Amino acid sequence: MKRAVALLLFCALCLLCGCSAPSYFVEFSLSQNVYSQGEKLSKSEIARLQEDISALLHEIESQVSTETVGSDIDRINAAKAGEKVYVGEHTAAMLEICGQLYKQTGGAFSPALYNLSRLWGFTPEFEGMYTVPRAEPSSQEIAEALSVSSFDDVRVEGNVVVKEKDDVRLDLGGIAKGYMSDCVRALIAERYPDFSGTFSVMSNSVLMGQKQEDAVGLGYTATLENPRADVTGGVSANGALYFTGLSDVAVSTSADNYRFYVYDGTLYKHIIDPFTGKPSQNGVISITVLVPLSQENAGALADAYSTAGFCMPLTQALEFYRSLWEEQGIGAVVITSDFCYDVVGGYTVLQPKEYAALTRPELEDSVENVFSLREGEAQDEVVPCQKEREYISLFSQE
Amino acid sequence: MNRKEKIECIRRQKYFVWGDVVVFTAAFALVLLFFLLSFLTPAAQGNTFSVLYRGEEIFRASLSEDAEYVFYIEDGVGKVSAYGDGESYTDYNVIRVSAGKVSVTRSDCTDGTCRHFGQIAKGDILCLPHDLRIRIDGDGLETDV
Repeated sequence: MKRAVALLLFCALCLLCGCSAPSYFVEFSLSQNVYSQGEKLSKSEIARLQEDISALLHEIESQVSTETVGSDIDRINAAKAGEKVYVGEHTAAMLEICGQLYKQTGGAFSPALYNLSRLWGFTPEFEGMYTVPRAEPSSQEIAEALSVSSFDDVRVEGNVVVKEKDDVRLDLGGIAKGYMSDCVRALIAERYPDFSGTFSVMSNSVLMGQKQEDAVGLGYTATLENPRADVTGGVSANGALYFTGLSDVAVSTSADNYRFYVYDGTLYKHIIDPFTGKPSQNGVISITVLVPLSQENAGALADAYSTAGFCMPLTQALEFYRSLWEEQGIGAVVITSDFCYDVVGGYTVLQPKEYAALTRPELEDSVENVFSLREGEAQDEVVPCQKEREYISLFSQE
Repeated sequence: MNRKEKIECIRRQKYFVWGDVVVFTAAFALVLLFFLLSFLTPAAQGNTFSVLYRGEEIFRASLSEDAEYVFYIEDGVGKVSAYGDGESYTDYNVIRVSAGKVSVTRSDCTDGTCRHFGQIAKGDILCLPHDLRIRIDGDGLETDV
């Protein structure tokens, strides 16, 4: 009798938990209005596609997760100097892209920062404690971690990885979700030619083809998430800016409102500057990068480029994004702690009120423009505005 | 009674003792609480509603103005216009907005399920025969991603 009641309760709790819990770690969403060669996919086709994508994401995650014992990255991190580590196709592909990006960004993008991330308390083992205020590690601790945080100490040849120092450790978090979005896109394109639709792997979105049945005539639209929604009023506080007229593009955002803490009036973000060994302090609070799908590895590039700009002085970051626009048609929106933003490239970026006027005129007076387009040239020195100080004070200790 | 005898005694118990009752009551209360919370927490109500035909939005209007609209399918294309009493339609649903709520009052669909949704201020009304969905919009601005 008791066992039966306990079993019943257990089942009820499982059902309730199942109502809200995602079934896998990497959050993925696929639009329900997707088309192939002009024909809308049926619900059962979409369900089958989602199942296959889920399996693919699991496969990639199991290779590159730092938390999974026996994953490629776990084995690389545990390996001694000179030891050969054989890795799977996804890890090898990601490390190859990382190598190119490391070179192109002059080291601003690096996958070898695991030791520093752990020192600052941002690795997964600290989950649930990221926001706990804490003093900076000592300069000696930072210097020690920095000495084993160079991607130059990692050699990658095909599917073989060899470290030159025992303690160098990798973390592909800066590129993995973008790379996953590329793999998902390849799977979809292989199965459904001339595909139109959108999907997202965490904060990495891919907008494939042209928007079908475009009633409003704006093409695909995307929200640039507001990293300061906590101090923004009005309806739709979660949207800082809005992109319109998009097609065939990968969009990725990195921002400082995830994994951060405030100590002594300073916000410490999870993005570590590989040159200083400290959380990025260049005044940037959010970067969104848009890479045309005609670029190889568009999702991975968008993911990595949106992180790299945090690890350069602001003017250098903007110059870097301008060169990407001129050479590869890659666009960027950079928001800084003075609540100004810079748009690089020819993408249409609208303020909330402008976007409301086009799509929901009745909300135009109820939404708030949070950030202003920068007038004049940006400077490396960014002075946080009153709203930014208000935001930081929300997380400051009494 | 030593520890081994105590465990043997608990194993042989067929019925509830007071301790069991307390534990199971607490567990039942928790399950009931979560169950009620998941159903009774009010969802945000919107200011507008949208009409979607075959999954695509074809019309949007305010909930603050009482009005009657008609959705109809003409040559395979879904359309919405202000409803005129004297006019006749085929493959249609009459949509009424009243006191900030939406309902389907008349239709020629085969099952009539859409009319049984009643007046809604949140959520959707569906008409499967016409592949029609009437959605109360969220409060904010929406995008594809």
